[in-house]
Amino acid sequence: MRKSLKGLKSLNVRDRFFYELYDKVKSGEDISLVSTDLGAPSLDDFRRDFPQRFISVGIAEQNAIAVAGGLCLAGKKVVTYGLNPFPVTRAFDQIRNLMASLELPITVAALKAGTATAEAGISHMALENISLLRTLKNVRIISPSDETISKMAVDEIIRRPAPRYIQFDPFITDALYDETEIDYKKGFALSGPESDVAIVAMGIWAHKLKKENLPYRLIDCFALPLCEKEFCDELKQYKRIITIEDGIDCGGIGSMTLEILNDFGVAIPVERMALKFGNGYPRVFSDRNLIFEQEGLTLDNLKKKLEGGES
Amino acid sequence: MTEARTCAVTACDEIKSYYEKSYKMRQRFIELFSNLGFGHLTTAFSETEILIALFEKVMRFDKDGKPIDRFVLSKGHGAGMVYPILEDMGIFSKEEIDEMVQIGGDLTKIREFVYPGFEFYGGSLGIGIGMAAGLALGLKQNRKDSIVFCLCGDAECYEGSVWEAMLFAAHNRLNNLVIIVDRNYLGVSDFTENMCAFEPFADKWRSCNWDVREINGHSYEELFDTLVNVYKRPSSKPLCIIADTVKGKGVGDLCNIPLKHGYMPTGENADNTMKKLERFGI
Repeated sequence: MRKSLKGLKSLNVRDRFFYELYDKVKSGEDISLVSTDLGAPSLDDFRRDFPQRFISVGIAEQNAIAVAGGLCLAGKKVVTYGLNPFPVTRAFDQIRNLMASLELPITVAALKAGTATAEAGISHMALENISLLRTLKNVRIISPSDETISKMAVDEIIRRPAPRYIQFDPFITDALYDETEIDYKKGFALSGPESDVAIVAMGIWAHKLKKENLPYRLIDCFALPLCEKEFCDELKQYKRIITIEDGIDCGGIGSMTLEILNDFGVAIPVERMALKFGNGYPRVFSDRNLIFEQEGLTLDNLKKKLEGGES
Repeated sequence: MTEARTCAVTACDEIKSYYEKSYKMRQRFIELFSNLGFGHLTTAFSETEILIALFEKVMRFDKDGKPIDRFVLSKGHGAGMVYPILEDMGIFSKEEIDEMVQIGGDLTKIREFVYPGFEFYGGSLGIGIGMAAGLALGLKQNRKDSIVFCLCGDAECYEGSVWEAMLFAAHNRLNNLVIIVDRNYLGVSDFTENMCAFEPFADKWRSCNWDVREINGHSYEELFDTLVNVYKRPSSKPLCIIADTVKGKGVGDLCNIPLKHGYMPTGENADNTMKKLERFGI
């Protein structure tokens, strides 16, 4: 472990990712990082020790992906780094053409998942990123719910070069999983006791619920597309399923769960807890807690549903 | 005959042979894409000399035939002219090209071929320049003595991502990057200067810290003179070659006409277009 990491009990998922990336480069991996005017304390060592590998394009998300594509063609492993939702929403066409179609193994690392920056307004909320990227073939989505998943994502980038998107939630810290529990090919991890009801979650909600240790089975979808057959086999065991996610309801993991059950011909009731914005987007100064409250996306509501009551 | 005189005659013959090649490539393009039923004839004819000059004269290959220099085709609608030229270069046979350019034709081969070397990718405009810039940066970092050529359309330069890439390339002193703008003054629906003026176009590139050359994009004399010299360019700046062209060059009826962007004659129209195809430069 590097000196700067000694004494640190836990890190957020972004910093864990970047420290791991630093170590890989230090040990000889040819990785470049293309930044869109974004840094991090955990990147300071990277910038100092590998200045040639830290490439700035300014606030130009589209160019970041294009430049990363060119660097890939020169034989480099490339991670772009930008502030959500822009790496996806602004540069979707570049992702579609260079990553999904040409399959250039770029990793798009995006800071702030879902409503993590709700204070900055709707423009800065990554509400649709998962839904948008699920429509693309060949692009893998990683949403770490703990440090272990984040650390192992760097191994994935090196071992299995492929187009990827990874989103970091600043409120996710600590290692909750053992490395043996994480299988990137499978895409989901199980925890909690056997129960009649299963919770399918991702990112911040998977993290919260794992820490909450509820007496229900938790299915953490940390990497998409997940292994559908195994996922369906797991779901078949439950009488009810509740999905919960920090993103728009169309096309997220709730939709994914319904699609997979439908495609395998399995009929199990699914309740989706997600952002619906039935009354329109927020028109007030807001934060993540207020949005969750207004959208009924709370732990209390979830518990009521789990116990069979209506919220 | 003196040695100098012999060289001049040889050079002149060589240039003539390239103009003859232009004619044949246009013929083959009409044949291939009229059979397919769609294509971008006017665009292909706008860039014909640029592509032939690059592929068949300027770009360097190693002793195994692998490209040393790299090429990115940013204006994807111009991809059609690549097929006749690759056939002419002997990279694909006539039969292979015929097999590829048809509905259901397998593009795997050409895709394998274009990696690396001819990273031609387009369709979605404005992406290629940034890609070429990233490639140029990566090759520099790898200490490769390669030039990255990128062909883009002038109307493509309306895309904001082009300007993002322009700034990036200049900032990183990518003097191994050469962008050729096919300046035919036409978009799809109208002339560029009517829609949203580019001029003074060259000044815009210069102000972004690029070297600029303005040439006739249908003149092999000017193309060779400019492109061959990119290998000994004493500059730290990327180079933009603004190649003045005519959209539809070679077929008088189709030259400089808005709304002919996606035009591809078929059947009798293709036969008529073939008859009207003109030789020039000889």
